[in-house]
Amino acid sequence: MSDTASASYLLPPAAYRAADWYEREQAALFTPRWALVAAASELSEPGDFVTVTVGRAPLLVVRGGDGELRAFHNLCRHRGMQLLTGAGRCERTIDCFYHQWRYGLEGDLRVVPQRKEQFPELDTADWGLLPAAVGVWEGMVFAHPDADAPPLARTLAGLADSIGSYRPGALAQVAKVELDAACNWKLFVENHIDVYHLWYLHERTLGDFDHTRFEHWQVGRDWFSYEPVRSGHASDAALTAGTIAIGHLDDRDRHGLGAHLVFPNLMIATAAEFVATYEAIPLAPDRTRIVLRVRAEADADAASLSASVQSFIREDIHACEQVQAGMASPAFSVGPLAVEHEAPITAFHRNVLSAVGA
Amino acid sequence: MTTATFLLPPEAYWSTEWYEREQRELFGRTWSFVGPLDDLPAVVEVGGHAITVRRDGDGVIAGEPATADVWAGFVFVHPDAWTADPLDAWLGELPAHIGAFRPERLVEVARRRFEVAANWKLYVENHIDVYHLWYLHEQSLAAYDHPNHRWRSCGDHWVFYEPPRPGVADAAQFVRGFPPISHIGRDDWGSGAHLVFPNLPFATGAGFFMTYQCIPRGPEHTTIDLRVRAEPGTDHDVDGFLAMVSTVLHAEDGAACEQIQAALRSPAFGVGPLASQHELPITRFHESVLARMDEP
Repeated sequence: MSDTASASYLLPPAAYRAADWYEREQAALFTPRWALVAAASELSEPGDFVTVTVGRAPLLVVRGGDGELRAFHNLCRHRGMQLLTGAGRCERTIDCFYHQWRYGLEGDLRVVPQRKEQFPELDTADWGLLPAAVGVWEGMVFAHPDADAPPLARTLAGLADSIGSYRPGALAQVAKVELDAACNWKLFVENHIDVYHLWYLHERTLGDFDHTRFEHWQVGRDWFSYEPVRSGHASDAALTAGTIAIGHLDDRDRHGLGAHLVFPNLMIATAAEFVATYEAIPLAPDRTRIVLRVRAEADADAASLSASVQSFIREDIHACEQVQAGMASPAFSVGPLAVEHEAPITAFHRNVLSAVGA
Repeated sequence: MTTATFLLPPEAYWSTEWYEREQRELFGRTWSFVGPLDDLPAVVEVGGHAITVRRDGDGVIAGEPATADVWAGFVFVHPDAWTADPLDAWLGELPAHIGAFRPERLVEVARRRFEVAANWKLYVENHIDVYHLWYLHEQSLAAYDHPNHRWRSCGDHWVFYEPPRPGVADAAQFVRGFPPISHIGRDDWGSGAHLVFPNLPFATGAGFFMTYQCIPRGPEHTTIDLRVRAEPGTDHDVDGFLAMVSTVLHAEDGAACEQIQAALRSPAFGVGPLASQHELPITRFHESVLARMDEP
């Protein structure tokens, strides 16, 4: 169960504002991590690709002609040019627009223009794309810059154990939205794991859930929670009124709300009608992109579900932006924290401090 | 014989320390472009020094300890008169290898600045990279005969020329609405591309002479100051010309530099083998940069 020994705010304001903190986090937390990069459905055909920058590392994930999913560093081996941008489908090869070096979808270097005259010594076998790691969990594709990264299953073990009867892979990704927040990424995560604010900030959006019966638990660096709906029927909750419930859920999950954190920045919210993932991706010390993906039954009303999830996330973003602005004050400080309801913030700070080595 | 190699480390393109050293040790110890004589009087920021330059009779004069001089109607300054080579000696053979152009006989017909989110050296390296002409500019520079290019190093500087492609007889048609310059010959109607070290690329064609100084604004930010000169007394289709030039210099070259810049801090970033001749100017440029800087 959660650590109630001493709920206190361990990180200094500089951790939310200073460029050197940001750089250390990029190096220690965000580059060496499994990042959620796509729904498997976005990469179903040979040549389908997505690009993503994981911390400092631009990566590409592509489905090969052999049907295998592979991740590579999105860097031409010649001058370090990023090969692909955005997402789409390559026709059989990955071509660098700068000097037309051409790679197969399996990463092998195939064509170097003017090779005989200009690169007489070059052996193409030495200059294939640098591999990264790729993994799929429940219909979601993750990538890690280190080809020898610890297995994805280990990173997601706590989530797999704590997510109850949800099978996200049996659902369809029905919406993807990017929201920009003028705050440090940690404020957004802290807000997510702050039980105390549910009664107040989300008085209306989450008012149908019974916060007095909120359970939460820590597994390693990750955090998980559950709270039941007040009336006994999740379908009565205003949050998702009128949308289709997920067919495969057990009784507990049909009547509750889950909120989880896979350290450092992957948040998950589950309800009777949806599984939402939202990664908080730092863009600058005071700027964060929230990449929200909503999974639901394929025939669910995507627009209405997406709006429901965004309703509470936008409340959170507003609150985080207000705190970020307050942090610029010389008088800014954090007082006592709620012993039980804010203890997860203390645990999160300990994990950040230990990873960043501060 | 020099082997084409990428000599500078990735941090030379993003770290504040490198940037500040470069300002001090490179820009603080070499000649920098100010602009045409018409710009004077002026105050320019070079290597952390604010230098005032004004006309002085037929010549130019800079506030001490800097010095100033003029080549082909263009003003240059050096922050330290005591250690500066004369401008003529510094330019060396370069003026002899840019064709018959006399930019001082032309007038400025357009000036545009654009921002590139990349280190200034990436933009210079792209300018002196012959290899990319065939590929990045496959369409935009298709009128030129890349296999028949020639380039040479002139001290720290660099000159390049390629003729129009066979069958494309009238090179002036590449530059819409810019009549050929009267004081040059047809053998200058191809594409000239040159570098006055460290950061002044310039280019010539049948109807124009243009400079595009790469002004460092920060480790990852450069302003390109494009100034176009042409024959006086004629109507020029400036908009048409700028549209063509900005495709090459901004949409293609600028975007390429930004795409590399955004990858430079990856732990996996690296530069592989370079084209033995077509990218050798990059190696020479790196050698010139390193030669000016103190041991860290």
